[in-house]
Amino acid sequence: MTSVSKPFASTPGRAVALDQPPVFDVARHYYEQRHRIHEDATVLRALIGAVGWPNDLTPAQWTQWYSLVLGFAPDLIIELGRGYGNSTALFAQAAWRLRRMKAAWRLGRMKIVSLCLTGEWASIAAPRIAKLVDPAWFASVDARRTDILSADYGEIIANHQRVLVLWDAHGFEIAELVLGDILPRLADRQHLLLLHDISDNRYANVQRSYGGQPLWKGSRWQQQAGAWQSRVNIGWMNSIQDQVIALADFSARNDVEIESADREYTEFFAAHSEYADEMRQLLGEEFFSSTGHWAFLSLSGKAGPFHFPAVSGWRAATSRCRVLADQWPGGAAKIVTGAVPWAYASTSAWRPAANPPAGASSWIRCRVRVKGGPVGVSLLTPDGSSFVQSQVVSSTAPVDVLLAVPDLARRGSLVIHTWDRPVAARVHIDDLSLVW
Amino acid sequence: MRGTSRTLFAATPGRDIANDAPGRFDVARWYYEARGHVAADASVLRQLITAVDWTNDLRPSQWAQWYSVVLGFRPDLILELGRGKGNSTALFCHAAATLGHTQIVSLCHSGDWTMQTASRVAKVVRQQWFDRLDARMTDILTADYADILGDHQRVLLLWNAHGFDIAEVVLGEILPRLFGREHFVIMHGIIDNRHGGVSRSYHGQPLWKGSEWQQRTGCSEARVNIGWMQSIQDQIVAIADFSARNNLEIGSADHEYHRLFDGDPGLAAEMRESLGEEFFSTLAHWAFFSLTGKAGPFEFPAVGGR
Repeated sequence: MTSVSKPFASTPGRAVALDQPPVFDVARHYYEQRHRIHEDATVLRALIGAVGWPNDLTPAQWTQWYSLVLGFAPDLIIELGRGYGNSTALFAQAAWRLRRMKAAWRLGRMKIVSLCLTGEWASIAAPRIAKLVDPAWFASVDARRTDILSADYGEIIANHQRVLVLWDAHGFEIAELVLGDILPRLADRQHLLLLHDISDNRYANVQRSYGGQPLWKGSRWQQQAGAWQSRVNIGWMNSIQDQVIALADFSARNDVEIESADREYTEFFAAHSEYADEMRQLLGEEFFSSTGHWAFLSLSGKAGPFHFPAVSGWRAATSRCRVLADQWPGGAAKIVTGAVPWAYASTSAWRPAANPPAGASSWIRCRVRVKGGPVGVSLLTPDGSSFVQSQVVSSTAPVDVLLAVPDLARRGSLVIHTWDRPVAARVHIDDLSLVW
Repeated sequence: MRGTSRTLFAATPGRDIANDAPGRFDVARWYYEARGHVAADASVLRQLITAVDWTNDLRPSQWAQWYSVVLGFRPDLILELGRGKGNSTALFCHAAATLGHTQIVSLCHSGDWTMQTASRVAKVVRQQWFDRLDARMTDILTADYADILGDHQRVLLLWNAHGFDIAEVVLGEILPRLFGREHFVIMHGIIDNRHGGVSRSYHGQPLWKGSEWQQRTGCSEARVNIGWMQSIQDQIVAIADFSARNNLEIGSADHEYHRLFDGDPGLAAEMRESLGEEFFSTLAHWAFFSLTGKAGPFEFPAVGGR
């Protein structure tokens, strides 16, 4: 592309000249934490074995992120996307390590809020890990099974001042949430966003060729077509995920560089070959690699003002009213679900206390706490034959469940039910509202 | 740590750009050199614009810019992907009539040209004006491009139909057939955010989430920026990818016009005097590229379904 001048060169933007030098040096963190990684190699190896899903994160990536947490010492980690829990486990281990080092005391203990729709952490990884670690190891982890798009990030971030966000959940909607809701809340706090699944085609061994594959046509197409080998390159970013487009757009509008771990590691260790030798000797090829396949972003130290996208969906709602539910008077209830998959525990007709304008999109917002589970919070069709929308949730902390209401005039019942596993739960409904 | 940044795919062998011939197509110079033709044809161009009656799709200055491209490039075939009401169809036909040897194959689902525009245009031009045009109401994805390209050796391609599937046909099917022939590709609907004071702001709009999302939700104001390219169309993603893999520069008409006419205000004054603000603008909102003169080998995507 023509590269004579920067994007938006003729439009006033933020004062880049006032930017401070980068605060975070991920490559130096990696090098400086080498002895701690070495000391913890046995437990890291055991944790990797317990999670049992190295496809998602290689051992070298474990240590890269481990070094980052030890070096950055956040007081909050928000994990967007957990899957089997590779990152959850390494973050928890880093929190455990920092706690023992007492390095984090001045900032308070590190908290990890992990958000994901999947249940493998609770059902597979955590029980295996529990055999390896002290029960207190889990104290830092608040692993919620919930919709990332529904979470209340104002509440999660609260007064934390040093926040690490792992962006490992994909698609444009989550990109909008990160760039339009989470990042504005972090702009005036020390923060760092790790972006998984972005390779640097300048440094990583990435092929130029399409490899006989069709054009990448977006994440949804990829899932539908199963064309997993198609990749897209946006500048140096090579990925299969929609969010590289959103990141390129954000980067252009704000004159903010998306940083590459591949580049940082390669350049750093090429400039200090003796460090690379030391890392290799101490950690071996298992835990040392100058390839990361992840990127990072931070506004810390950068002069504003920044441009953020608006958020759509329920977050754009400006009005709210109570929902009157026959079975849950006052919008609150305690419900016990049975240990039978998909069994209904409570079904309630409902109506809003006010009428949104005709044509307005509306959502039921159900604030729940769940002990046990997982459970489903679902909206039925008017004839009760199927779900209009259904959300899984398992979180002892209060979380919001948002259910789109397609037609307020034809309302199906709300139902609280067991999810796919034969595990009972106690469900507290703290609030039930309609937002539009 | 910030070291020297490598070029894209620096670790992977690619085509030898040192063997690229100097740029052969200068759209700004074409615009300037065609000023006399545009001025002479202003009256009929104006009548054609009125007959098409859909300036939302193509402004008079863009008519003049593309008219100058045809006159400057002198193709023996114009392949038009996307016709709509027929702004580009009409201007290509008129340019072809001026050149005397150019065929036009126009592909589009839309029937507006046949049912509305052509009859109005027929009142402005002679019947022979239509002889060079083969306007097909068809699916761009299923056309036989080997047959269309035939033995033509100098092809202008207008890429004005949108979506990833068409991008795949252009980059994976048409472009490999054009390599080896002189060709020039115009891509409509791509704004250069470096020029014209394009706003950085999202303007209260949600994130652009693809063309299909945009059509479904009606969020027509959301835009995406990839480097200097700003658009609402999926294909800029495919173009950026193709550009990166092939170390191939995507040209910006906005940039070229600003470079020439801002750099030499005398030329701009001359254009303004000849064409007026109606037919002269340094804002173009289209992009271009060509493999002509570039050393291969090139990487092309496979084409699904073919």
